[in-house]
Amino acid sequence: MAMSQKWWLRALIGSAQILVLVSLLVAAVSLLGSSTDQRILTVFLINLIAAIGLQIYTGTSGIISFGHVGFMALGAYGSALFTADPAIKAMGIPNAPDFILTSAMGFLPAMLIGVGVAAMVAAVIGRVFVRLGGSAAAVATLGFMVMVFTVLSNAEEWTRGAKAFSGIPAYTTMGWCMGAFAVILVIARLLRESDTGLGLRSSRDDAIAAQASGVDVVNSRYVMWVASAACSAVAGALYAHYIGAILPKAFHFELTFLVVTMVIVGGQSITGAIVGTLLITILAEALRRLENGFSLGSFSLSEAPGLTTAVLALLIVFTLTMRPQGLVGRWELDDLTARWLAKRRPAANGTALPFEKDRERNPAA
Amino acid sequence: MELMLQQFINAVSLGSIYALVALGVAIVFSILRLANFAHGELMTVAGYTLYATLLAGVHWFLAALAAIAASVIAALLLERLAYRRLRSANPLTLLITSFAVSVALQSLFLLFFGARPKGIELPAFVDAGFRIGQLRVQWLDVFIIVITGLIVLSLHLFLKKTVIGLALRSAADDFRTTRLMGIKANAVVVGAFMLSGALAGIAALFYFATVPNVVPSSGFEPMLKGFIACVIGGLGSLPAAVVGGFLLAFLEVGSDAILSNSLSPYLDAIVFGIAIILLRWRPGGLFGVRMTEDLRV
Repeated sequence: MAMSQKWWLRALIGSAQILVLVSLLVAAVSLLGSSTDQRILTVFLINLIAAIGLQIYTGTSGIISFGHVGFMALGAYGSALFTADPAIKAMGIPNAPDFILTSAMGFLPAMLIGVGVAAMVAAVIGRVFVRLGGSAAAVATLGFMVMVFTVLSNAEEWTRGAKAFSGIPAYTTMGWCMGAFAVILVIARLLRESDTGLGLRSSRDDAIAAQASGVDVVNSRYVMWVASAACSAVAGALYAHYIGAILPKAFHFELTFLVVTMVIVGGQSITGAIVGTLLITILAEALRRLENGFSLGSFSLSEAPGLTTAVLALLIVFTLTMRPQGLVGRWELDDLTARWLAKRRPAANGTALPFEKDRERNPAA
Repeated sequence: MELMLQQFINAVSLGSIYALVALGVAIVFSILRLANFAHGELMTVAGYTLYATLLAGVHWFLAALAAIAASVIAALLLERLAYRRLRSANPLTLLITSFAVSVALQSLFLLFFGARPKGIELPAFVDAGFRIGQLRVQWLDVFIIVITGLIVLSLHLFLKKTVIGLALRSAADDFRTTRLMGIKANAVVVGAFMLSGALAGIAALFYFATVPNVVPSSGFEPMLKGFIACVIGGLGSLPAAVVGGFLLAFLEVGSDAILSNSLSPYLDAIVFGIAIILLRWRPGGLFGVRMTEDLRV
């Protein structure tokens, strides 16, 4: 039944359903929540964009990338360098080239520059990474993340090196986050439902059969790779203009772990990335409050910097042992609502319950 | 000429460390298809053990043994607590689990030891050296190279000449058939993790002898280098891991020698860049290992 719809219509309906839910969440928090809640919500939306960005590649190709935080860093620095006040730049990075020193752009053009740089880098290195799968891809992309980190930490003339680059205008508002989220959500769903995305998703089950059916696996992966790098860069730019000061260390192992976890715990769909981000954000926040809130005898948990991450990591291992295919598997929200509707009106819809059996047969898919 | 020879010795010594790390990674990968990112944390465990025992005034030889034992025990615990339940999970889940285990261990180190570097009190002989003409050679480098050579040789003999070695090799080739031949799966996996832990421990001794302080994230860099070495050589093959390790070290030392001073901070980025270019032509590694399920296309 779902297949009879046009692919772009399916993508738009799916995006609309998710957008309504996220908008309700945002509206509720904006009206009822404290300023802390709103800060958490903004960070949640930025993480959401980062997770969807990564999911564009991982969700369709089945290949994990530990390198997308590198693209986030490029987006963040690209946007920050072109928007920061020239007077601040004259002090912080006096040796930078003139076109950076003098520029004081608006948010959108600067963000687009950051996104463009990330997309260009992705396009250059992408040809290598799309040929790698599984563990080899994980290691190589991790190497790329470290490459970006090394370059940013040492290019002192441009980035102030390992020191924080501060004075970035605080452009990131809830409106910007929601706008960027909506655009990227629609792009992600369109890419996923398109012929390219469909072919690629079939290749994650059986690459050889997909190729035999005419799917150009390598080139499809390449398209997704560049698009997902660009979307990750948007998240990086939003992050930079939210925090106001960035340093290369912020785009390293920990953030990589966080984003990758959101994607894997959630499942293989865009909905999965959203569910994963929601779960991790709630868990991290709950743990943080717990950490501040109590102490065990003389062992005060507020002085335990690694505890949140440790517990989070253990919870993730636990979740994956229980549900290896991720929380929602490969289903999108609109698949699930369509199934729910079909269940309610089995008589009205002759071909009910299309994938009930499928799921039992193939739990790992 | 002396400078060249000096650099050559540096490269071989560094390559030995990388090769040991890569071997430890490759043994587990070849059998379980598990990229154990927590391998670096095994090295950190050995590092902290070395720090604690040397601080307590234990003789260096016993401290070294304790460090190796600690990382073997840590490896076995990881296998039992984290990886055993997931043995039949898909490769991506395994990958993320090992990543999560690595992050969890780093956080635990941070919790127990703090973020400050712990200086390891190395025995004096580590700095000792001798001269051949203009060339100053550190005993440590000679020691690292000789021990690594012995380890690679004995590992080779162990895998080729003993029944356990045969079981490990056949499990790497086809785990299911090996089990049908009556080999206990747990025995093979535990054996692989013991070997891997021991190699991590020995590599950690050499690594911390050259970088004598340990922080919670100490293991990350050698782990990443070891993995890149494996990928360059061909993931899953032991000889490829050794060759990859030495190749990576020669790339690193060679680039450092050629590059001007202004570029040398970018060394890691440049070396990884070259590695990525190599992968462009040989996606399966230099030895073009047989494309397994998760590597084809």
